[in-house]
Amino acid sequence: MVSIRSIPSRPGSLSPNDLPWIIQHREDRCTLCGKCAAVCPVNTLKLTYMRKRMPKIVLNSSERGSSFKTFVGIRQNTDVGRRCIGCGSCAMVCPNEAIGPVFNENDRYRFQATAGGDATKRGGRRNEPGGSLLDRIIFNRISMLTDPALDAGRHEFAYNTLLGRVLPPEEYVRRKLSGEWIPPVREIFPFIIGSMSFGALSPNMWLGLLQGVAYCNEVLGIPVVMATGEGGCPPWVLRSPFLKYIILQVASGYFGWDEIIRAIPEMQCDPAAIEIKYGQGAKPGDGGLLMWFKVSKLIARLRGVPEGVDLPSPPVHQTLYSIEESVMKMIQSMSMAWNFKVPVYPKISGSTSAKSVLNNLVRNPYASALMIDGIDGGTGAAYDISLNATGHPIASNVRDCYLDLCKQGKQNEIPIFAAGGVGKNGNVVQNALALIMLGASGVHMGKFIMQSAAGCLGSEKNRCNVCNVGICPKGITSQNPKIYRRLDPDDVAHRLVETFQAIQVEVKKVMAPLGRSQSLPIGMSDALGIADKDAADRLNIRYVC
Amino acid sequence: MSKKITVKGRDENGQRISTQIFEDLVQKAFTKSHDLVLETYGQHNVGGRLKSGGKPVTIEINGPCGQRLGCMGLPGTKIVCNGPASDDVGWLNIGAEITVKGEATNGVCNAMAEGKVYIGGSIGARGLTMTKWNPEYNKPELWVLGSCGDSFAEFNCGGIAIVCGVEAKNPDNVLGYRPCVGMVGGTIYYRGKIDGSYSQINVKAVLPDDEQWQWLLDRLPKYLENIGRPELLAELSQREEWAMLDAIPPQERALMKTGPMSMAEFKHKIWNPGFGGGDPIRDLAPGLDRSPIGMVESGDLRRKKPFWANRDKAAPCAYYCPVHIPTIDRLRLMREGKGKEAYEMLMEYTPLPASICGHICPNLCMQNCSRQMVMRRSTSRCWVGRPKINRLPRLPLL
Repeated sequence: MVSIRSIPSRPGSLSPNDLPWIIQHREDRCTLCGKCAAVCPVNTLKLTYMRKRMPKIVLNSSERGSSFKTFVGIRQNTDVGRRCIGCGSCAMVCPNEAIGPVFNENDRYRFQATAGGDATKRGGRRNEPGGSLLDRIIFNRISMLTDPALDAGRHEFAYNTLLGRVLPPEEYVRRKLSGEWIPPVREIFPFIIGSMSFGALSPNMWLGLLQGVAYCNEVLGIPVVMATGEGGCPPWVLRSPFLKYIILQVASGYFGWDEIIRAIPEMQCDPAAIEIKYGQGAKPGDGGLLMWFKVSKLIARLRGVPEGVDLPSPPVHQTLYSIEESVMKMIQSMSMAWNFKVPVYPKISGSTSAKSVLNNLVRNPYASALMIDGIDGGTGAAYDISLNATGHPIASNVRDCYLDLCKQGKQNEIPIFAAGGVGKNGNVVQNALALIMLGASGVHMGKFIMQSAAGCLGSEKNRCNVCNVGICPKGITSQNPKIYRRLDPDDVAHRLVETFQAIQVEVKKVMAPLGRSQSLPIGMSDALGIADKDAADRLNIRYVC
Repeated sequence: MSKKITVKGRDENGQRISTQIFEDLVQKAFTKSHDLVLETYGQHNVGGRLKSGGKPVTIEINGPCGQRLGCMGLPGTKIVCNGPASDDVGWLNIGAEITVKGEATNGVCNAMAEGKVYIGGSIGARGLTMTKWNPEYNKPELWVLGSCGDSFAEFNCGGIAIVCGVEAKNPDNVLGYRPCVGMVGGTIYYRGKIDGSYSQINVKAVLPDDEQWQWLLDRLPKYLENIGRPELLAELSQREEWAMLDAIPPQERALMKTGPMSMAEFKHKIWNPGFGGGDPIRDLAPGLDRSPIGMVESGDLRRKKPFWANRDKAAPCAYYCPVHIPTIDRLRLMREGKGKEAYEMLMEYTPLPASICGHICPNLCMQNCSRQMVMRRSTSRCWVGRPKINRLPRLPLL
């Protein structure tokens, strides 16, 4: 008997049909093994006894009745905090394909997700499913008889990019002859693993990525580099020969920098570069946040903080007061830390004010590049509103900055790196090369790498996206060894290598028909087209239909 | 028909006649004789499309030869060019035997499917590319006295090449830069140095076995005779000077897809030594086990432990039974008249139900039955001291 009081009718009550993901359970296939309930990261699955009525009808008789049968079934928790997140772990472990989540267009959960008075927080990226603008840009300047076409399969291609300040030839020669300082420049693969910290990522994920990066460099000769994010680097890694594949990040929280400074005199090699984070595309004006669930003993030790506390990085650096000061002080100091031999560049969120930052960098002798992160970038933790509605799309932002450099004749001197939604729908090379031909010298990609190298389940239909609370079903963003040990670092490294090998193939498949083989087509916007007149006009590329 | 006819490539004023008109003259002469001498003057596509119905056709070329000598050549046609030849000798040849006594430029044997091309010197780039081999016909052959240019044997499907390295244009690299890309069939015999830039996923370096060596020895004299260099036979018959590049069969190639180094080997040789030979976070987290586990684990790695709420949820008769006999099921079976099944089920829980255990049981099921209040009459014991149960006890109706 169900009492009247327990029938849910309060404002916040939800029925299973109101949830964003509905569990579909097939009783006829279920063997009651319980694996689904054991694996569910949010404990939404409940094994319960349920009762069903079997009508009893006897022909030629007025005797009718019911018999009741109890059976063991699965109920879905309708609490806001325990709603199904659609990760599908249950389907992954079910031996019998008896269970799995189904997306529900009509969810009412979104109106109730404010329980406790806090706004919705999550990981992932902007919940805007479907093709992005970058997915619609195509490469249509094809070498057809007018110039020799290349064969992606057999010709040799050079597609590395430069990270660092490239001096004009006469200035280079002058400095070379007079023995003056020449800014450091790195030749790197233009697809960079975007900044994800040791802390945001589990140790198995972070080290798996670095292992794959090291394999790409040392075995395959692809000069892949990865950015660490703020949160430091394990001391052994800082003293390893693999540090040269790492872009260290400094942000307003300065987490992990004590270990880095301690290690500088003992470093075998210099890091690839230093990234100064001023902003992030996914949550502009909002600092980093490592929530207490993820501050394990290991992370606390690495970051020099107490265990189990929230670790916010404020949105601004406390000791920087103006753009000039930010640019000058931070870049000069970080350059000096490695004797002016390591490129240093700032990372900002996409913004209509990006050009002002760029123009400051142009005048700064130590600035190596500008990295702009657009609104479609991912994050481990942010408010929904920041993710969904705050920021600037990357394409026009990069384009404006590049054309501004062209006006000053500086487009070959200071590289712009772009990020934010690269590979959002899997078209990582298409997106990246579109940005490169719009003027970027390379791209950063984070979420795509998690999806490709580690099987991240997140999607723009708000699937999973629980990176912030440390229950990642794949073990990518968890600090609980019982979860992150699900991820084998060797597998991550292996998939990362496969990803970069495939990226290499696709880059050639685009460059060959364009007739380019000897340099990355940075700013080659005459090769781009889009079937959208407004976007074509805005980006100053060809409208095609 | 046997009288030799000469066709001239220049008109009476000494001017070159076009390829189209020259071809017309050749086809007309061919109706009269199958033994032609062509005094070419740069005309292209000479020597092909001469259909003799199986009778031998002999074409001798004197004078500057144009491009695509012997292209679309038919079986039975034998072409001898007394000088050098231009690009694409034997292009789309399907059976002609073409001898060029001098050298030949780029594209020799491109897309050739059958026939033989004998070159008395070196050749240019992209020789023996895109060859075909239909198993109903013989494999196409290319013989080169000297060396080959770059991109040799790309996409070679069945062609056999013999590169002798004699008076080679490039004696340091007789097969040129990056040969055999995309080569899926056929084989290359060569004599002399190469630079090792051949496509390693397509061909492997081997030495000729006895059969292959015999194949070469059998055909060398005819080749040398054709190009007019029989004196080289002894020099070219030194087996130890020859090596081969052999197409890798698809089965073998599939096994090569794993890449240049396994991840395990990389970990062992490069990754671990980079951290002084141990886990890179052993100092931060001593003793931390990061080895992979499954999604659902038991023991210490178990993430969720069930809370048994039997006292609240289970039927009192089953809950209070010290040996957990599912009394409800037992009674149900009895109500359904399944005495034997009920007895067998009971045996799974207690070995001596009707004797010792039955007698000492304090009947906790009965004491705790929640229906006592409702039905007045609860479950009762049934005396089963007799050897056979004749009658099931009467049970209260639900």
